[in-house]
Amino acid sequence: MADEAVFEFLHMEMVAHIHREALKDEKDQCISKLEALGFRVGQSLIERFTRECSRFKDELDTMKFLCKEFWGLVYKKQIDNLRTNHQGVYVLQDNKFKFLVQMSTGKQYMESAPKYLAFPCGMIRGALSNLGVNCIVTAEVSAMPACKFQIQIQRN
Amino acid sequence: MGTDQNRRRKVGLFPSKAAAQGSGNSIPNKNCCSALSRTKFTSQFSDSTVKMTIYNFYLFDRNGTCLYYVDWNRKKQMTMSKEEEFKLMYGMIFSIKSFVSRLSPTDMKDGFLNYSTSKYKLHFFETPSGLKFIMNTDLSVGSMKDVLHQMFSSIYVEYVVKNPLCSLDQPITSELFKNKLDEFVRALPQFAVKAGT
Repeated sequence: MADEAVFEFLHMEMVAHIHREALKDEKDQCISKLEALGFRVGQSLIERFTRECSRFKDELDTMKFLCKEFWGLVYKKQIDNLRTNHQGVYVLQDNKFKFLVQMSTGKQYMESAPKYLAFPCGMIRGALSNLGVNCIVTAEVSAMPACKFQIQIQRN
Repeated sequence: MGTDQNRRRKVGLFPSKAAAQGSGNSIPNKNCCSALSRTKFTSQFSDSTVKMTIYNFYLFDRNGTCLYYVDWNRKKQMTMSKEEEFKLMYGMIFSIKSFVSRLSPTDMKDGFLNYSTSKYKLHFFETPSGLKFIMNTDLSVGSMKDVLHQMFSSIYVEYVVKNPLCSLDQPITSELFKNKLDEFVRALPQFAVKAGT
């Protein structure tokens, strides 16, 4: 659909732009910049998506909302696998992640994949922070286009 | 001629070796350049008895850079290097396109579409953005314009344009694109490897 393509291309160019404009010694800050962008976007998105929803019963419910509704609204599909150790660590697995599907199936381009996952990680973190859950989100890719997002809840 | 009539009679009954062997070189009145006229002499034969083949495929961008080349059934190797072959192909296509439009006796609708020789047929498709899809097939194939168009929209756009790691003016390195294109072409009804190759 036309609207999906706009966001995909914008995201592609955003990643390329940030990496191009970064000076030599700031290369490692690119990922954090992208993540911060995603954080802000996630915060606003979650306000919009939960307009009609009631409060969540517990953390697990929040996670399920993230996997089903949020993912469905943003990437037009649901998370394929959610695992937890009930101690505050959740692993979300998406077997055909939107931004990786057109890149490759298998091993090609794997080194560049993390760049394109920074923004989605930030989005998850922003969405959860506005739902009252502070966490750290990381992503890993073992075989394209599947990827895993690991969410670690911070309790203090 | 006798063989021609025999072939036509046999076509309806069972697929005969004669039909498979003929690569169209005994059909009289074959035009070399069927750029403007759309008549296809080979469509007299039903598709189920004639094996069609796709030889190779080139993809050029607007500036003449060859973005992709692949061959499946190439019978004769060129005496020149790959770079020279690409330059020659691009230059030839560019010139033919311009001749066709300048020498046209009527108003032109699509411009240059394909040319046939006695052994192969070259199909051409250009997108509005200047991307040129060129495919060589044997003579029994009809129009490949829709096939090339589909190759553009469902394979090139999906796996090259939407891939942030593929830059649009460089040769294509994405394995996914190569595999999808190969799969697509092998699944076409026009791609049937001739027995004995």
